[in-house]
Amino acid sequence: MNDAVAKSKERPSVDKSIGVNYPKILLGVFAGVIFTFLVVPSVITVPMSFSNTRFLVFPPKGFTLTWYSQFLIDEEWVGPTLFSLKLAICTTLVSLILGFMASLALVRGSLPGRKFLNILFISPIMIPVIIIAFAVYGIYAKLNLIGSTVGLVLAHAIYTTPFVILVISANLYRFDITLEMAARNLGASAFKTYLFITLPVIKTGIITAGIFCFIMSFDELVLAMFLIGTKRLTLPIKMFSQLQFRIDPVVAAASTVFIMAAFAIILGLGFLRRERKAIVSKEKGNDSFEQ
Amino acid sequence: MKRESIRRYSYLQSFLLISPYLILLSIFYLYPLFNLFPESLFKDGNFTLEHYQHFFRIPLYSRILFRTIRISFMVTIFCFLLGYPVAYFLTEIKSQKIGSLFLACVLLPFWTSILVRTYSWVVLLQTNGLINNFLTFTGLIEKPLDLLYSEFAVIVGMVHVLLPFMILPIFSVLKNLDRNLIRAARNLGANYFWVFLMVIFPLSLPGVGAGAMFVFILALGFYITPAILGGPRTLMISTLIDQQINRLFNWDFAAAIAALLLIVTIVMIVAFNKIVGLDKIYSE
Repeated sequence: MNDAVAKSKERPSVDKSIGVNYPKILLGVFAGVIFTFLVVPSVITVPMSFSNTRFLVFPPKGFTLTWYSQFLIDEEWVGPTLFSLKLAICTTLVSLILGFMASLALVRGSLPGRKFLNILFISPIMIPVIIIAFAVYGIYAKLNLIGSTVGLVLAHAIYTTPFVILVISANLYRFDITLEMAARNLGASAFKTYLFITLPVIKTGIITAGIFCFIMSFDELVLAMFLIGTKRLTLPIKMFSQLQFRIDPVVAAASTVFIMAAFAIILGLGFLRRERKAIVSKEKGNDSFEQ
Repeated sequence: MKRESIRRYSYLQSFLLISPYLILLSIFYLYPLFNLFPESLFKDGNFTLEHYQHFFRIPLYSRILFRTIRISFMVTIFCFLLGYPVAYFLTEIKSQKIGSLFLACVLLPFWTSILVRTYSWVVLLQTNGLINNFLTFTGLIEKPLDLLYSEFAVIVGMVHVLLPFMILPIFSVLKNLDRNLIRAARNLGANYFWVFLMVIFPLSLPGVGAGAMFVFILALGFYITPAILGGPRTLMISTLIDQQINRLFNWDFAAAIAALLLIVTIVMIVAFNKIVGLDKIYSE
């Protein structure tokens, strides 16, 4: 998304004729209010997680790290967290492979009924998840898949793969196919071409899709609630049941940990991108290397 | 253009590439979904419309259906009213850095758990929560309002979750608008207001359409937000289905409601596709 902003053309400003632009100021203020509205519920969990009260309160009172230690040490929380991580990683891998293959076929393949497939492949994110959960529960019960990790991974993959397909096919549409042709011309096998040309070029897309998948699976409540059986819990289920009991600050601590992790990932990716840009610009300086 | 020169895979290759996901969808998605219809239409092997009649006979259920549609509609309207200016504002930002910072604000909610965000609203809206305290402190109200467990709370929570889905498509259309059209209109003497009304807004309608359809469809099937912020008096269709399955064990009836909601959603998706062109979002 940042790339998209970066690409938007510089445009000459036509607005200099008026001294004070009241509509623009008003628009800015309004947008500020909405940004606050969007950000506040995520942000207030951070101070609330240090609150020295047994319930979530805002503004927080006192200071304690109890909730963090409970989240990071208590088996009641560690178990579901680790299981959710495992589930999200498996789902991401399955989903990336399925989604990458399907995107290749959709963008470069010759498929009858491609329009229909486009809609079918995106529909799992538009059909209410509770309907999918209920319907899948029926067939899982017959196939004895309730409570199995494989079953959960597959159900989550149904739900996350549409995003992978959207992101990767957008990348493939933009991909310059002559790069592949050049590689093949120079003697690379089809497999090597994928490995060393196609994948590196659409790497950003794959990473973005992977992150989306991971978050969606990690945060998914309804499918997991229906399909997990009785023996285990995922983190969202644990949070949901805990919160129905009382509005527990451990949930805020957990949320804060993951916001921090997300920030670390974003910063890391930004750093990587900058590094790569530096390398590319250096190469461009050395020889006239196109694309 | 370039796309025409792309080497196409053969039928067989393409089919092999999509088959894993297609098989997964067929067995664990399409088949179970279509199975909802026979499940809701047969009782002990005999065809019956009993469950559907039950749904429409009892006023409570029609009320829930009507409420779901009303709430989804209002959420869509609010998302448009709040989201459009923000999308417009985002395209007006000249500095790249500030622009991506604001865009990050729009995307930040995706990074936090929807459960956590919804409970943040519980904390903010409750009787002695921040909003009530602020309102009583400023003297705008005398007694704290019952904000939580109401349609108001559900709408606030849903708008909060769905707003990015409205902002992003509008932003993407506005950003790619041909700026020369605006300059031409200005040159021909139109002021900002008229340029917006006659040029910018009509051209941004595809984005508005896509955003609105997406928000409405997602809102129809919303579960977590109404379950937490709505309380028992503000049931929506999804929470009703959940109640029938997990509390009352009325599976056949739940299947009938699910089938109804499924039909409505599919009709909406088909309409979406006809009006906006769903496969357009693939090439963006």
